[in-house]
Amino acid sequence: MNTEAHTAAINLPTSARRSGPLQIGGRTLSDNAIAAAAACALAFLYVPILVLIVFSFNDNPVTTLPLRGFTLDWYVRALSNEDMLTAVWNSIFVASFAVTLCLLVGLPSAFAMDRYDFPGKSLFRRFALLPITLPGIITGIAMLNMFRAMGMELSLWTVILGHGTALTAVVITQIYARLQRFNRRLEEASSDLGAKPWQTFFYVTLPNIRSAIIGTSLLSFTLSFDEIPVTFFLTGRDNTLPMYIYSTIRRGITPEVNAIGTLIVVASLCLILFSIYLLYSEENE
Amino acid sequence: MNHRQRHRVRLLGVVSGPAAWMLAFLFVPYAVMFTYSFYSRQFPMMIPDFQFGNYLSLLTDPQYYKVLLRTLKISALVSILSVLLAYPLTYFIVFKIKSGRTRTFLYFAVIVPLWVSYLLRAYTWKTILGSEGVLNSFLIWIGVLDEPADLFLYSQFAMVIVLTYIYIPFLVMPVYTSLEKIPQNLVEASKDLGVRPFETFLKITLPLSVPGILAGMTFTFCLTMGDFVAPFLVGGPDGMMIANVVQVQFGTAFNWPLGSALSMVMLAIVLIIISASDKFERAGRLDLA
Amino acid sequence: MSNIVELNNLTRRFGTLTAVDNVNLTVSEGEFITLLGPSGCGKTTTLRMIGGFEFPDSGRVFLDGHDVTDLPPYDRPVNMVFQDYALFPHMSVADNVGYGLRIAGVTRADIAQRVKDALRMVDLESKAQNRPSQLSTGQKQRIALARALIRQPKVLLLDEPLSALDLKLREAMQVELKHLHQKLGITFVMVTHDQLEALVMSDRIVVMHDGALIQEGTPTELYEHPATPYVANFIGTSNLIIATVAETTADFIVGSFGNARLKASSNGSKPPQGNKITLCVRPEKVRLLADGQSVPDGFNVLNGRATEQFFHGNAARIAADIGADAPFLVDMQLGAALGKSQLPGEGMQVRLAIHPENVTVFVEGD
Repeated sequence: MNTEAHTAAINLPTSARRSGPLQIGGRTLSDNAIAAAAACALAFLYVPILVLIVFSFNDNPVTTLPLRGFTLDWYVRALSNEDMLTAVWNSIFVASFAVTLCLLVGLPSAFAMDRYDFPGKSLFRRFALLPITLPGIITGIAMLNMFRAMGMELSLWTVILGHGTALTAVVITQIYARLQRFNRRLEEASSDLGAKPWQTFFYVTLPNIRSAIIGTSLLSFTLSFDEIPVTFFLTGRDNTLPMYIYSTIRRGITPEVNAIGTLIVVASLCLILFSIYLLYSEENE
Repeated sequence: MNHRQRHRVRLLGVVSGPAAWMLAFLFVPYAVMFTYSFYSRQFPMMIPDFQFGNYLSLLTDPQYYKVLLRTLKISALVSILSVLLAYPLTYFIVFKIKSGRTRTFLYFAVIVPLWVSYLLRAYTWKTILGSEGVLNSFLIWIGVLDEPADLFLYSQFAMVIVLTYIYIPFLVMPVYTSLEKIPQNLVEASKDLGVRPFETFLKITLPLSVPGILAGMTFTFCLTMGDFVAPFLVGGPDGMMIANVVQVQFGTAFNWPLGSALSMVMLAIVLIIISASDKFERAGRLDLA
Repeated sequence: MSNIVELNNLTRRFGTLTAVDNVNLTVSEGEFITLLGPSGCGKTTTLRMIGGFEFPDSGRVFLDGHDVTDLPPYDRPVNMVFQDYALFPHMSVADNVGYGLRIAGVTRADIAQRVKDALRMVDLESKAQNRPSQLSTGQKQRIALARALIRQPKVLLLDEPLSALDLKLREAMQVELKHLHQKLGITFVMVTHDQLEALVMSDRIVVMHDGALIQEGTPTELYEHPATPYVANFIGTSNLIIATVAETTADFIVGSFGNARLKASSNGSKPPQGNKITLCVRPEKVRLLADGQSVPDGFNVLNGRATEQFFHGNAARIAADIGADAPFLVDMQLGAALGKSQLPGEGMQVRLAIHPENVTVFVEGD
């Protein structure tokens, strides 16, 4: 969906700073009211996801209460759906190349921003972060216009270029944050011990930001998988998974979508939690 | 080669690739879009031209400016509602939870759904709000309704619900950061001076969390403006937003110049709001360091 | 003995701040030289320019006769021990120490042997497979040393190597480093803000202030013959009294302040009468006269009133009001000859005897 907020989320404020809650008084009426409001909001956030999961197992083609029986039918149908499986494969294909592109452009960008001062640096920074400050549709349409002007046909490759453009900013923000925390003295020590710059980069710098790179790659991969606005305008004949679901939903609701949805939810959750773990494991180094 | 030259060579090596990429994919596309927005259209082609007709139609044709106004209205509604729901939740997590681990857990419990397919989460509201959906069957079951109500789905109401749902986590994040930054001793000092909790909240906590609220609302507003999925899913005939209009121009209507012009307008509005929000935040920024 | 390090007119600016101001220095081979000064005096920047981590805006750096001013650190025959040790967190201790050899292309077997020897030299063989995060601060420092020395550099640079250690450990390491220097015979260039450390360890000390070199010499020279009041009070403690010239003779300069006069052995200069001078007396060179004790021949005597007492365990310091702007400090060793109870209490009259040779005169402009 939108990547700036995603990247902001990854930069978790360290709650470890606080030792305890602010005591503004004992447990009062307002305390209970706040807790109730919080609970409602949290429930509001999770009810749809629960609905998705519950109804994917419900033996009823219509998603309505009361629940009928338990069935794995929808999963079976979803997993044997040729078109859907092709779409999944396309998404994996796109995501892999898109992430590679992001790393190739994002890593040097992050290094440039962290270590050098050069004329036009703030313009560079603004452009780099542009795709995550704007709604995806604008990026998508702008690139569509460009491809049209170039006479280029839409295909998975244009989608890859679109994702690369949209998601590079994620890599830049994450890697830049990690580089800021990196102890530059380590590189000086390496240089002092005789290592040339490329040796220092491979033997000292890279190993120390490795988990940030992996974490950010996983994050970008997941974001690419779910990308809609940019993809919508750059898709040719081959669909990515979101595009496939989009067209399926247009035709009507089938619980198959619930099944696919649940699978995606579970897979995304795992990937996200793992990447968060990686991005934070270096906090304590 | 002295160190200054070495430095320059290294800089060039690092910056040239990304700079070229940015030129190609972040500057050129917008330049092209900008150019196209002035073209005229002769179905089914577009002709190079320099005319403001596309922009003018946005101002004069009710079909377009009504949708734009509707979009602004809905974006504003969503931003406000999201804040109203997100703020107590965030306040609760930051101030009422004792254990640091629980706090981190709850924070992520709120954030993680963000990464789980926007399309799917928005889609489930279709199943919930539909005439045969969960909400209706629930209300019938407990006796509030006799027959399913049609108004839940395919309306602006549904869109606002769905979008608010999507954006609550987007607001929790900056507000969380803002609230966390408030030094503990400020609130304690206030308490020391005998100020009642609610007043402390109004006079200290709330003002200090304004940067976070502002950032979150700006985000939400700008992104909602560009959203076409929610209208498509649950908007119904009344619910088209400007992004859908743009979508159509590049689709069946095949009016690229108009579509480009509308996109440029969207871009302009978003950029204006972002810089206004930036200036506002900077003006009211307190250095808590 | 040749000059292993030579700094010519070295200047380094950061924006409007001149961090190193026209510094000239030569270091002889095998010396242990210390750059001493408070934070921000330019000592670390100077050290980093020797190592190649900073480049001067003007001036040249010579190592063993070669102009290395433009060379990066990996092309210079020096190695540095960083203030925070900069041990590679993702490598074991053994890999850290052997890193320089690995870069140089030494064979695996050789590396293993030399790493072992290096670890033995710093007494940390058992920690070879540990990670730096598992070491104590003192251990980290020794590994950083081993890592730098294994490459047999011509000059070892040390950036405040002991500042992170607590007192007892620091004192032990001061001695160890000195022994290491004597054993290895290579040149050590150290940076510190701790003057005691500099006095203990160095063959020569260079005092810096605001980017400039103020005085250089052996510890004794700096202590006994400081060139400026700044040096006099930075190295050890000094009583600094602003006075005016009362009279000058062939052998003495007499300064007067308040109701008192102090005679100082002449240093050859003849400041005109009435000029402002600064008189400098080290607290331990002052003799506290007991009641009734006569003033020794040729000594100055100052009358004052004790205001405070500071107990230092084996020593004591008295602050007395003698009519100058600041309290006059007197240091005394406690022990068999003098006990704490014999010290003058607050408010008591004291008589202080000082030999003119122990009074240094600084004229205006020092």
